[in-house]
Amino acid sequence: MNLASSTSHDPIILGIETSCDETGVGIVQGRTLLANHLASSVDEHARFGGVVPEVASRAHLEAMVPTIQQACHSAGISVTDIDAVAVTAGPGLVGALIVGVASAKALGLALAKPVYGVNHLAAHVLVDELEHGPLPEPVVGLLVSGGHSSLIRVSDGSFESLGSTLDDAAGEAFDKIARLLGLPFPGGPEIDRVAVEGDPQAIDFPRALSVDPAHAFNFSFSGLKTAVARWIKEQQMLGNNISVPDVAASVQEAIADILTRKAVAATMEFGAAHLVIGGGVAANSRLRALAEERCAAAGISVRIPRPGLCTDNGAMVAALGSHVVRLGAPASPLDFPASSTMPIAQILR
Amino acid sequence: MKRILAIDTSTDMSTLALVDGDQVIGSAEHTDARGHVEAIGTLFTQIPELDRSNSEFRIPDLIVCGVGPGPFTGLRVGIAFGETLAFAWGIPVEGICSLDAVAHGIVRTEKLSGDFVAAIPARRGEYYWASYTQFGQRISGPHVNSTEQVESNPLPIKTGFFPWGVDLAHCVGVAQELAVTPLYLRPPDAQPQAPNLGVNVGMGPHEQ
Ligand SMILES: [Zn+2]
Repeated sequence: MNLASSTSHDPIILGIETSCDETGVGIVQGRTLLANHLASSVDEHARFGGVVPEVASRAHLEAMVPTIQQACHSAGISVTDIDAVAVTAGPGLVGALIVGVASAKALGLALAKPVYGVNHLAAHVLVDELEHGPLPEPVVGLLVSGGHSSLIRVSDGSFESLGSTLDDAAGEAFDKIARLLGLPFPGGPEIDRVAVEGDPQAIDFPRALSVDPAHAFNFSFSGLKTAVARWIKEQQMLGNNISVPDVAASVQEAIADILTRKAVAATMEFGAAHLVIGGGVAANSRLRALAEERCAAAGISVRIPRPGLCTDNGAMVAALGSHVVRLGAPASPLDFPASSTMPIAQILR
Repeated sequence: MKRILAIDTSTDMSTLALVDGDQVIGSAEHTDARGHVEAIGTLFTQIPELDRSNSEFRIPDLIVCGVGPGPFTGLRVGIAFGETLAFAWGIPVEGICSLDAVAHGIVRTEKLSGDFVAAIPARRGEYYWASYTQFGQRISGPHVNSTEQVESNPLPIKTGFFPWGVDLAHCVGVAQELAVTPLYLRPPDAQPQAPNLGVNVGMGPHEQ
């Protein structure tokens, strides 16, 4: 806890997150987390093998007010105590974002409090302040989840994209490969679990590392997925027994290798001494271990918030809201939209 | 008198109305098929009596949301907005079928000689519709069907009418009170996937 940097005079920010399949509401005062509630529709998506936007949107609407209510209750505040509302304005699934944005506007208008429409990716970086205190700048963020794989630089308060995925997000690659292996959705935690029993060196899957310096920090995972599918087919044709744990461990090794290698290289190249990792895939045990090992070797500090703050949640949105309020940024105009493609350079609508 | 804030975003039109009994205190509309979430906040501010700093402000007694049927994405804006307002103000919220408000408006403005169908366009050349008596009581529906199926109904079909906020407010206590959840009429458009891609893999050394 970082109580020293927060006082009872700091404004109370309620953050709403609905960009994918988690309805999140968090409450933050300064850099102190007061509450973080989540309603997830992940189980409803399992039988579809991926997030179905309409299923997610329906679930958000049902969960929205109860989740706000629970967050206020755990924070021990009345909703009228909040000083500002922050909400993910993008990027994400538009139909899902819209539910949170409509709700945030209502909350702000009902209470006559400002509303800040903020960037989901920037929130994944800023959330670490709740756990490890103010972010030193410059800092590089590696954001990896089912919806995004991005490298971001934060310096002098501005956010800049260094690279992102050209095809599948890292979490999506886990999901698709898990399906090839007959493992349930979401694939990341399943592969992590099964990989414990496997040999990460068993199969040398390809690492798509771009040689083009202009795209040095982009990612591509579709080649890996294809390689895994091809390898499985070959083994079947040869009549070989396939060890799912070995495949899972080798895939996990390849993904963790690509992500950490690029993240460390980007951090060094941009003269940052710190790397923040966020997104659901940050919970992957191999990614965490390898990141710590490589950052230590490179003399970089690595900051990874606890899993509950890495996956999509409302506290991260409140943390970014708190940040923009501290900077004295003006509230978003009342007619701000939900945007599927909100660029990282724009942290606030 | 009971002060009601009515909200509907089930059609291309986003509409808000604040009524107190028979008196309309204020109303605001905006028409944009894809602009509900952009419009809703501005519409709210166009009714000065909803501004907390206005001396005429008081928290309404009830919020009523049109719960469709209607295109889902827009529909959810009004419901999320209305439910959250109700929570923040600590007041009740109820749902009314948006077609009931449409029918209320038709009865108010048209000379009717008998039962009729109220229909609003859905996507893919379909209509959301329900049939009503000439006094605006729902006989059947709401349904979603193709244009041909709706047209095969012998009753006169009224289209081009909207669920105005004022009509929605006036439906309170008259029309059927519904849960504040969208009348989707259809399950999500998605196909469950087979558990794997037909790649048959054993569990290797850990196989049972
Ligand atoms: Zn995310």
